[in-house]
Amino acid sequence: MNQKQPVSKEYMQPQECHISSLVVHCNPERVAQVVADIEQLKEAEIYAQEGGKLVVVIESVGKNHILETVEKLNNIAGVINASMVYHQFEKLDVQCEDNKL
Amino acid sequence: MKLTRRAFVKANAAASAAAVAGIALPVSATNLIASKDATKIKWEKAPCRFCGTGCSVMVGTQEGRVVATQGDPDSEVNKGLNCIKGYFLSKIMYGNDRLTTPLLRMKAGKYHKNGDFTPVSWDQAFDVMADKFKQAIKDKGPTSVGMFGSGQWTVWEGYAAAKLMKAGFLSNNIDPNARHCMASAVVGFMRTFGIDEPMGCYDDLEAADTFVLWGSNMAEMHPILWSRLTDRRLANPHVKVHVLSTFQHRSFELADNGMVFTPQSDLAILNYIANYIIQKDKVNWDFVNKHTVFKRGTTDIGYGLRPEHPLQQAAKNPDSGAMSDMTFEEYKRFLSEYTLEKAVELSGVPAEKLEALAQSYADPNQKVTSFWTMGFNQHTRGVWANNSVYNIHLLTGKISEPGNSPFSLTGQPSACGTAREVGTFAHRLPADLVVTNPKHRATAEKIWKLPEGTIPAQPGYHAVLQNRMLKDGKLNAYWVMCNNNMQAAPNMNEEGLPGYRNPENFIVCSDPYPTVTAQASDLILPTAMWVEKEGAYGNAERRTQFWHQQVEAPGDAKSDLWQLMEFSKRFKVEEVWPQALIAKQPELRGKTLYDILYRNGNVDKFGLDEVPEARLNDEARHFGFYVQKGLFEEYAAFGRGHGHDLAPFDMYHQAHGLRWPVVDGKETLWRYREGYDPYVGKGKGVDFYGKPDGKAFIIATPFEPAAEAPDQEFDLWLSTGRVLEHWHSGSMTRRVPELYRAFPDAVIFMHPNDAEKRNLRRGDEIIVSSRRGELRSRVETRGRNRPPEGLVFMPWFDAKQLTNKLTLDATDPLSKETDYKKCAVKIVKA
Repeated sequence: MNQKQPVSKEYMQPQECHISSLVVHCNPERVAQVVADIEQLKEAEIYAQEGGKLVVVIESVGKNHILETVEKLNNIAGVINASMVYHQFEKLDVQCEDNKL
Repeated sequence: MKLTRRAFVKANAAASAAAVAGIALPVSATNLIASKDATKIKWEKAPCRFCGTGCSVMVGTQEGRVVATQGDPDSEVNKGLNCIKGYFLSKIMYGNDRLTTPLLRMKAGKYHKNGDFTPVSWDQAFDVMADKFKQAIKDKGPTSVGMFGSGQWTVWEGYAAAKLMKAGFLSNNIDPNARHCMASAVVGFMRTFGIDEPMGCYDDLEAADTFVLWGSNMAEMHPILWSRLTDRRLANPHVKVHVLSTFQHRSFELADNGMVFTPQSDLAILNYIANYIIQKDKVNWDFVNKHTVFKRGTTDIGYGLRPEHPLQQAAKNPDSGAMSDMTFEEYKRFLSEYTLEKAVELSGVPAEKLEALAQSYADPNQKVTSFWTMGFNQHTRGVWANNSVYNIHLLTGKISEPGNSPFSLTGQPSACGTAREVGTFAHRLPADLVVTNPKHRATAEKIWKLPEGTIPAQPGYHAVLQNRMLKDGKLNAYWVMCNNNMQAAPNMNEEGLPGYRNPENFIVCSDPYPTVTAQASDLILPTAMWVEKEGAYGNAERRTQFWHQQVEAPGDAKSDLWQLMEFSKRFKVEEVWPQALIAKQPELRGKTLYDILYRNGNVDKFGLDEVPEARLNDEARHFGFYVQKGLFEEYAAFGRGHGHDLAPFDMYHQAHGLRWPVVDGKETLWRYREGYDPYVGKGKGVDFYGKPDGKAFIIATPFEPAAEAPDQEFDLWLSTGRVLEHWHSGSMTRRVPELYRAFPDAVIFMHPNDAEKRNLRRGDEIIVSSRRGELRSRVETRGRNRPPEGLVFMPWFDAKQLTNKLTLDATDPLSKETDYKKCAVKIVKA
């Protein structure tokens, strides 16, 4: 490592790719707007929807961003509750990178 | 098709969420390919380490570390869901400052009260500690030693601790932090029903037509139950949700009828509802005549303060829980002053909202479930509030059947399973037995194979009294285990801290982390936590859940169970028991407390042959027998056959929890109702068998004011509590980077007008002070909590802003539980 190069502490730690899934309850009358708002978040993806329930998958690099996204989801008007279901993190290496299918 | 690793994980995550939500995924999203990597993680169940909901999680371990958690899809409680705290459970054990060796305050190589914390061996630690305990007992007798435990102890740890204190050291000075949290609920249950814990269960969430939240902010404090309630409400448009609180919070999002009331006026609202039911002729007479009796509670009972406090001196009947018979007509007359007008005047809630609430309870066609937690329990009239909500359910017969349920929620994972059922309180023994009853003591002495007269008859010091007695120098050798009481107990400036630092006292704190309490102690013992040991918890719906040890504890950290039993080896019975007691059972001579309490033929009954070779179980291997099973089976003997039946030990390792009483392998969902509860005989319909005549008490108690209310100088109500991201004092959640970052520092939630009046803007640094102390915080006028003018809310998780410098140690005189929701403060710009 180049000693002269200033490196942030964050950089020193191996980068991790975090993937989480949530069930989001929302007011059924406002679901269209909630869906539109979630679609604005680049780190969140809606996998399924039924009535007022959405299945949302969040992906983030670095461990500090998941809850920011959850908080953003909670603050969307019409969202009543977001429950998390699954969480997995991986070292960000070749395996985690997207290959062309 | 080749699927990338990332896409695989995402599809996997989506599939899990869809399964628990009961949603079918589009075909494209379900095209999973089994990955070899996924099998590297070993998955096993465990109940969550945090609140009283008792969610089950799948814990994933890899190379001796917990690396992942997932909601347990087979759990009836959370059905695969997690809240964000549960979601980051995998990280609670891996904080950077995890304690791995005992630390003793030392100067010049020796223990010194004002020394610096120095690493020592377990032997050195226990040498000094045993010496201090022996000295205290020798100088001042058994009442000079004590222990402060927890609703987070596993069942067998709480049991082993209670046994060590009550039957080993002959001291009833053991109390759990559940005193701060559930004591009012317990006394409420005992007074109304004669037996502790809710009659219903979480299945009520899918059966009720109306939900009433009394002070509870389930959206943040019991998020998984809230998601079930939300599901019920959204899928069934007829379902209504009433939310009452002293400030607006996230649960109001779903409320059909949200009500912000003046602190303490809940007592008046409860009596108004009972009055409404009677006035509108909605009493369920068949039920009331067969299954209830009316009682008048003693009034003007004081505030559980020190006897010399003016408020105590002014009380006519301090600490009295006495009740006398009354007729229905007398009850009706008693209630008649609680008119709608009076309830509106005292509470500030608009009349039509209160009427809508009363109407829901009164309507015989609506099934009503009431939920409450700290709003009722942390209340100087908390027992009365608990009794009063039962009054409403009893008057209407809405109890003990699916959807009709007065439901006291709990705050700790084993407040029910350990603190209450094991009876780690100063006055209790297992299975609702109490030390003041000679028959109950005899039962315990028989099961424990100890001489008559071993267990003292006098209740010990309760939580708040322990701090007072430490300060007064009457309690001198003291062990705090599995909790952070310096941060949690009220009025720390005037009671807690002077007590711990009193030069006469020796304070031991067992904890995984250097908490505020640990730092105020003299000896810190590093502790194994959660899945670093085999455990059992009991949740709020009477569900007992087990887990296996899944990883090793770091360094020299040892479980509470190991610590308790190992410490007991240091005491020869002659050093702690009077000769007269030993003489009653001479074969005990020369034995240690370890021999007497834990090698008694019960606790050491099950051998290591029952612990498979590949199974981690540090305690069993250390002591040479299946200690968890032996302790559990001895403990279960207290409750089997009289309404507290627990299943055989091995069954719990298979099941995802069972709700007691478990009779013939079958759990009980609704107690006291024929067809659901095996203890209710044929033809009885309903039987409140906790009372000798099977009848529950409807107890009349009035509105009485709070111990302290705002005045000219201290002009704001302070209510304290929690936030979603942090659990209690934050000793675990603040060490999870994600949770820390999500809510790093406590703030004071305040109405914008109150801020403006004080020339404050959002984010300003402020000084908050009460008659007892002050702290610095910052103003928050937006966000999730919206207090009305005249009230501020502050979460207590933040060790840098110790809320309990401000709070008053006024308690409910009957339950001895502190009112953390009401004291008076003033706020100025820093």
